[in-house]
Amino acid sequence: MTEKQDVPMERDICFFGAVTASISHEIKNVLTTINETAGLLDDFALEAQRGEGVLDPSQARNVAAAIARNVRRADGIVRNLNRFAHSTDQSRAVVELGELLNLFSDLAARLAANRGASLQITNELGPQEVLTAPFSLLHVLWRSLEFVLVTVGAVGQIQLLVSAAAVEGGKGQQMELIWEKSSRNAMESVGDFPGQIERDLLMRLPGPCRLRLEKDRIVLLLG
Amino acid sequence: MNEKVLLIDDESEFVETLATRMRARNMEVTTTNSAVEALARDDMDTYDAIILDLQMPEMDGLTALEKIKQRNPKLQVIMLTGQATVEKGVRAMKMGALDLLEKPADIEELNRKIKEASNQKMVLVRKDSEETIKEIMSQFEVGLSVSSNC
Repeated sequence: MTEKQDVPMERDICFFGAVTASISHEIKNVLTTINETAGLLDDFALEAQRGEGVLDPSQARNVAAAIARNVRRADGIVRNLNRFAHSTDQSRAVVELGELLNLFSDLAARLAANRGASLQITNELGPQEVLTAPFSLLHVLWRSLEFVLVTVGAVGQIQLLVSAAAVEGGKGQQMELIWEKSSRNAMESVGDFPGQIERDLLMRLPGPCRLRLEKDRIVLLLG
Repeated sequence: MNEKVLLIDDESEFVETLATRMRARNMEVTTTNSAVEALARDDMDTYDAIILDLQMPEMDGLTALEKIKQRNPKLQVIMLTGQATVEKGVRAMKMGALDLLEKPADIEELNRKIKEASNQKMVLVRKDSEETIKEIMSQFEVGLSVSSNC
């Protein structure tokens, strides 16, 4: 993040804050569920102690399984948080694109759900290592999805289609955020997308990059 | 008396576990994962207490609280939140919530709040009934005095 300061630092901090706030909410949800499940086990034990019932081993095992399931869920959330935090380690790095997009999908799931939408990735590329600016790519995808959800008002399933593309100077990748249903006519509100912030974020990505809004999708081309 | 409780939270595993624990405490519990679904229920007025998560997709807890109170001001709502702030708490109370509890809430504290909600609703319903009876009686008395004057 030190090479270029073309995107105001506050924008990066806002993005970081939005993602970590969403993750903290997820973690809190899991902890609450674990707490309630432990409480249920305590209820069973107290009933048995009072002679009002017997502690059924299969019931106890179900409770233990529920706790283990939620611990695994929390572990996945914390792993994503860790990977997101490390996306700022280097301004540019070689990453497996599919993995980075899966991370984006996990991080953005709550953002989409809060607007009555869900994000599904279709990766036609297969495993592919690319040189990119991981944090800035996540940021530009987040802002694109926010535009799709808030300004376009997309609801239901939103697809993130990843495919190969020809770009100036060789082969590249194309990412399309495609929506089927929206509460507004996208073309009425095309207004300001990509805006200055998105254009500045593209400047951080290596190679020639393009971002454009079409009737039912946002297309990001990476060189 | 078995309190009738409507539990609204988008975290389905949490809601079902909490409901199991509340049922073990002799409460009649209905669960739903969406405030929109809850508001579409015909039987909402019959609940002694509504436990409402603050942050939910589709419709957040404060919007749902506003709609519940518009529908029936006597309904008692206990807000449950993972991210309690004084500001949100004050806002919820100003909008008519009985209380705001932070997750994870202690089941016995929640139990006490539900009983308080149930009593509060009963007081309001009784007050309403007394006023209705008073109104009927005063109309009856007017009717009587008119007929005695004839």
